Amino acid sequence: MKFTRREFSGLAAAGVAGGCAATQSEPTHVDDTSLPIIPAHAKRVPTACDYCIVGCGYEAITWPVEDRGTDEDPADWYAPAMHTIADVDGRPHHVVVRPDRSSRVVNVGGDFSVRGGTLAQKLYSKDRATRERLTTPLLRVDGELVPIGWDEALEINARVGRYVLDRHGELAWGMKHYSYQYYENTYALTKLALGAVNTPVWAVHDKPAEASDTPGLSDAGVYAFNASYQDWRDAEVIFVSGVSLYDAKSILFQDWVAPGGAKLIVVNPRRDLTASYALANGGLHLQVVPGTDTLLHNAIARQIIEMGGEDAAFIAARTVSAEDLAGEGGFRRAAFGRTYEDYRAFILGRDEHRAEAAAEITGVPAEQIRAAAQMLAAPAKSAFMLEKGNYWSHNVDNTNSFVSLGLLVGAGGAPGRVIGRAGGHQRGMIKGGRYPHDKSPDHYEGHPLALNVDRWVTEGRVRYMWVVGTTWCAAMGATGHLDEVISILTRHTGPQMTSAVMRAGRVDVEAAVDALRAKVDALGMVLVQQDIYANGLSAYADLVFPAAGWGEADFTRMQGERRLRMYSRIADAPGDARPDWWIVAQTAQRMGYEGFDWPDGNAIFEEAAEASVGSPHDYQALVDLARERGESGHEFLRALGTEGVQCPIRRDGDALVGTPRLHDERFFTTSGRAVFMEGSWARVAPVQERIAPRGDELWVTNMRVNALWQSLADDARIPQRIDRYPANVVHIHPADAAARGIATGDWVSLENDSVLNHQGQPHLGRVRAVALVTDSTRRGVMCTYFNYRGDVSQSANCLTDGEVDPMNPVYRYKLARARVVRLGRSEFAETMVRHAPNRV
Amino acid sequence: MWVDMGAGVYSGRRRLLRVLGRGAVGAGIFGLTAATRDELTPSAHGTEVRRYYPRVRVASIAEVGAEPIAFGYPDEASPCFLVRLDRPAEHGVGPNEAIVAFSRICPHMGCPIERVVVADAQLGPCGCHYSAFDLAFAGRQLQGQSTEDLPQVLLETDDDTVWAVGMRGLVYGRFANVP
Repeated sequence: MKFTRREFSGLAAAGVAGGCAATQSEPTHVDDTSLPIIPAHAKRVPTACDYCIVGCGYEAITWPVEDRGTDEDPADWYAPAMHTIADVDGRPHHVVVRPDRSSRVVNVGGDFSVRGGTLAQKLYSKDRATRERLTTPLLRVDGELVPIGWDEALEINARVGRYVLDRHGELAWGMKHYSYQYYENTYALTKLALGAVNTPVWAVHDKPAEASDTPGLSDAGVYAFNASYQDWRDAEVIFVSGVSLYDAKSILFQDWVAPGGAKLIVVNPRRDLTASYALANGGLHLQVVPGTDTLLHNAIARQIIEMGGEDAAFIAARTVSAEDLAGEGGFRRAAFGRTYEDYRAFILGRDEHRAEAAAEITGVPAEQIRAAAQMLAAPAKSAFMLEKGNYWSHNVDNTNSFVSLGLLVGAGGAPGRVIGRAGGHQRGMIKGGRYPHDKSPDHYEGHPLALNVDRWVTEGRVRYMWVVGTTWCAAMGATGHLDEVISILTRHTGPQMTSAVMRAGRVDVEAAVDALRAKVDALGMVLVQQDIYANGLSAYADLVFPAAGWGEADFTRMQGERRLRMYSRIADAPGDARPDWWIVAQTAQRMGYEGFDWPDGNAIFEEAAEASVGSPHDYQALVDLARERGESGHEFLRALGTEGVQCPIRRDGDALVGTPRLHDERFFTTSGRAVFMEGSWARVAPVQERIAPRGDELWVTNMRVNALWQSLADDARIPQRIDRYPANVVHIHPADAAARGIATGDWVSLENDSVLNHQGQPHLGRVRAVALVTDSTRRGVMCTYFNYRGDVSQSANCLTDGEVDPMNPVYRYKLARARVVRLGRSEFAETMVRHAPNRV
Repeated sequence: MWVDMGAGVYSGRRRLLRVLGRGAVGAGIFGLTAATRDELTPSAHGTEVRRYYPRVRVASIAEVGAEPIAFGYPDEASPCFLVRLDRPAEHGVGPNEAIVAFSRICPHMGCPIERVVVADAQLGPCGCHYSAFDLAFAGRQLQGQSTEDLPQVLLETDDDTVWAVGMRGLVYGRFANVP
């Protein structure tokens, strides 16, 4: 008999009440706390966190439940949240996943975030909510998903895919998957989609098309993850644009930025903890109006130029001349690439770049614009960090103006002087094929762009879609529209499969394939979903494949300072779940493609190394050295522990040498010199005006919450998380709330009847959330979590336009407007009223 | 009261707990003995020592105010504090159920947390990594990196005395609260 702590307190209290007269001075409460002690023979393997870009090093420790350690070694202590019980090779084991206390890199000394600290609870355990994992392939029959075997599922998938390709062509066969969930998987997925099938109907989890996250940086020649974490520690001033660093990249903040003592200039409509930290430590919080970053950057640049604060030596040595610029390719670079002289003339020549003029539009007082310029100007050692608040907005112009501001003061390729992303997820993509731009009908004034998959789907042009490890709809702009069209295409177009395909409890593959052929021929779309849990998208799936994820197979990738590590297998995957690469390989072989007969994940890791050569991911040297020593690439990497090695990797005899920082000698341009990129408020303003609130509407922007990761697939199964966030939350300024009769704990509806869909037509976008009234947000700006459980009814992106940046097809996720209406008191009013004070 | 159950030893009190777990009341009929008393109980992992929390006088009700009172619990090596909040609190005792006690050690990385903000019913932010805890809501983690809530000392009162009688949550660094 085992009591939970809460039950025990309750019964202990009852005991006291019943017998207090007799036991007044006697102990009544039993200590039910007891950590299983790690035995000496427990198995220990290195791994790294599954979640944010920082990728802290962890140690996974397993031992059979019947074994007990006896030595209470303080060095072997772990927090209770770091423990679970899971099957290992079919037998129940204690599993502890705790930060690597010996780490000298990333999470120095074993620091950890609230996300990574619960990694153990991510593992499949029948005793926890993780029992909801997908465990077997499913096929939709009579409207319900029913279990089938792998052989049948793979055969159906391959034959329907083959049929769509043969009958309707590769522009009717699409794939959508994460870009980050390990090299073994992304290489296999892209080898099929881009290599073998060679379809342009392909996009990753956060975009409707193949595109750049930060085009300004790319076009300037700055790789977004060129910096080493030491650089953020070495900087004297850091311009932190659009990133809740403490909440979303916790250990980068705690172990590198804060200990370095740099003054922070935080640009964020919300006074998050990072902004509070900046204010308390000699920095600034520029509480900007959403979408006005381009003007803010240019106004600061003007102040710097006027005070002579540019880094003339750096500009002369490391940025392009007119001759260099003429030799650089790329249509955006041709349109916006500038020499310093032309950039300077642009900054000084536009009246809106004056501090007072910019203050009116950006909402940042002129004196703060001047103060920021003073802090950043040479000779200060300034660094520039950006993230989605910056580039999920007016993407091209924000990132153009941002990178140029950095180059102006000499940031880009020296210790402590860097320009780069803080990062979101880790870097786990190596492509096994090239995107076929020649097959995409999309372009910008004749320059080829990748196909906008969401637009293509909502035009009814796709007959087969394979979605791997993403919620898709809730993560895209105009979520509600996309969701509605996918519902129609999958569930309400063409004949639906009936139980006629079942024979004696087994599916008749021939009959099932015929049924799906009939569906696609009648303009329907077959949806194949592959994930660790069912989510909102599952309602539309014809086939569901159970994936094995982090800790259930050996995987590799690099994190935010390009550190390549092994993510070791720890415990068994649930039921028949398999790694994504295996499912892809099995399907591809059945479709008749060659080159997919990998015996294990290591074979893919070693093959993908060739594709990494010459890129920042380059780890061919590691594979070469491993082969010379007769070891597998995976085992060689595992032996490098949580430290791994920073890519690109080169050989020095028998030693591997990593690369701490990328641009010390060259930027990624033809000339090797960086290009100033012009970001213009004149181009942004008409779009901004169309999106901005009118009447009683307020801005809606999305935010990160420390405890929540992406669509909450794991968080929803961890009590500490879901207890606090049983519904989505929206932060509303007290003045805005009072004017609308809204109190903390109320259900509210955010509505906008002119959200542009993927065809540019207005439609109603509506989401609900629980209000949290707080002065941490700017007046006129509501902040809400961006993808709450993939639930379309709570997805902030229902309010985001389906329109993309015309020169780089990405959504402006951070920019939306809505009327806010009180619906009534929420059932979560008592539990959601207390929140992070965002103070240091 | 001890019944040999083969590998383990079965405790009469454990049976009582099971009965209570089904809703019966009336503990105390087994007069428990000394504060240090241990009992052996079986578990899935072998025989365990059943450890009781000490019952310790912390302060008189009258002297508990907004200024935290430091004490050690369940022993001197575990720094805790006792405070009267301006609102009723979960597991609070005394007038308005506003008196609470908690561990002072951050469950994230073991740093002692200095700041008790009575006006916000909050402990923290921790000076190391900014975790903060809700003193009115059973030490719930409000902000920061702790994967655990703040361990709360369970209190009882009689006449004018506040007693510490148990804890919810594991104190940082311990394999069990009562060693």
